[in-house]
Amino acid sequence: MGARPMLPAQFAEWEPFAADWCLATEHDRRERRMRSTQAQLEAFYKAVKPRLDEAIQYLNGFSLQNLPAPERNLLNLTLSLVEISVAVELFFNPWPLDAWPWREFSVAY
Amino acid sequence: MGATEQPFVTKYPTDVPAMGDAPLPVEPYVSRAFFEREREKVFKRAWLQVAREEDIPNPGDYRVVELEVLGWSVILTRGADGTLRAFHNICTHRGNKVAQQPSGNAKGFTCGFHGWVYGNDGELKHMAGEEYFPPGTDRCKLGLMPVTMDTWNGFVFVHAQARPAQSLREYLGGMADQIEHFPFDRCTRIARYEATPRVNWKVAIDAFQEAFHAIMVHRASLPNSASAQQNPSAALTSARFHGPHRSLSAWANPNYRPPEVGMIVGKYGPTFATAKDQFPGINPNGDENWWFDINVFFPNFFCDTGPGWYFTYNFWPVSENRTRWTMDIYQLRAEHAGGLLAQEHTKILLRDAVLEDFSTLEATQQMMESGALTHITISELEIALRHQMHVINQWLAA
Repeated sequence: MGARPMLPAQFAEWEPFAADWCLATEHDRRERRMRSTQAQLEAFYKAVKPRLDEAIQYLNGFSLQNLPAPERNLLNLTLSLVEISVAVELFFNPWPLDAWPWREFSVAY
Repeated sequence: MGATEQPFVTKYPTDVPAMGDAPLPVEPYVSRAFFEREREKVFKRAWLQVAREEDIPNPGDYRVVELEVLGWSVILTRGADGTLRAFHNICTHRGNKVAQQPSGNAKGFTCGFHGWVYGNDGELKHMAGEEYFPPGTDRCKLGLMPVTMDTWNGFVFVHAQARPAQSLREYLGGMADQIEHFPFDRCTRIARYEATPRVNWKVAIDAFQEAFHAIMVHRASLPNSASAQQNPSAALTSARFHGPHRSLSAWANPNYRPPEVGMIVGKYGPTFATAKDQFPGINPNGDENWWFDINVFFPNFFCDTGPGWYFTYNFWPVSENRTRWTMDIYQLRAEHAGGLLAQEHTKILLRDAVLEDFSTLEATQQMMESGALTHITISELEIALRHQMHVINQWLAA
């Protein structure tokens, strides 16, 4: 890799996903999900889910008000996992299949 | 009933109004004339939920609420004294809007037409050109015009009448009694979504006040969550009628397998798919396999409650076939990352499930307008639809 690590050292195995998925807002995570292939979502899911619980327990040791950058990135990566988990576990497709068009919705908060 | 087995039985702890079991006419869902009667007889006579108090937390904070069904624009503003007030967004001089931004913080409002200045207590503080107005023109009587407003448990309601026949608390009645102790003040808003589909407001409401549709509409997002062999049609576990309002408890399949990531984050906070704890203000009848309560405040507000989260819908009619819908999702404040992840799961699953709900609305409206169908056939699973129509007819006749 050579690039500067984004995540805490013990979660270095997720660095290949960090650039794409350390996203700070629901908007960015949803956009990334909608632009991804199901295979990409499944690869991300398969890599992160087995250690999700461990990552949460690690992050719970930090105050949300003062998260250092690597931990902030880790939190955003796990939030992305939640966003895409329903695509992998429920819809078997990046986006719900029988859904009203997202462009008709607005997010006001 | 086609089945030979004993059907799952919904409990009715309150009196069930005599509503008959006839098919419901389609006309009230498509008729402009009917909608105009609803505007006059329902929306101008009911307490209407418009905000949460925490939307306007500090002195000077204000929020403008557009109420198309009344043709009103209302300013909710908190004065320097901490008091929340509601005013028509109208300059008493020539009628221009005085607040142009949808929200903000200000000592008051300056009309962009001739510069009349109002305090956020409504008083007309500066009357440009005062010396040119006729003798007897009284600045003290030209303040912003108040709108009837009251709050319950942090929910802000307005009423179109200056002196409503019932106070807000009287109007809410048994519905407020039922959920009074839910800790709304310990929750925080985690999402707000809006949409304006081409649909009658009652068609939209009806898509959210039964669990029956879960077996089809939510077969992907919430498979077998509210149905199982012993309750294949997702019948409600209980339902209560509180005057014009109603509360429905969705049955939970005890063998439902929540999504895996939901189970993991659900260890650190409540989620829509996983939370099963005891909690104040929910599951009023102590049902065994209980999922959540769908609480419908007449005429157009929902406050659905679960253990640690709640979400609201407002269905604002714009015309007989256009509805502005908003959804707000709230959950217990997060103390740590795990709590935030649980909030996110609630939000994502509800958001995607609601997109499924919306898939039926415009097609239903379009086909109701075709005239091919004169009546819709309603089951006991959909008793809430019948009750909504029953109450509307009562109000139109009164």
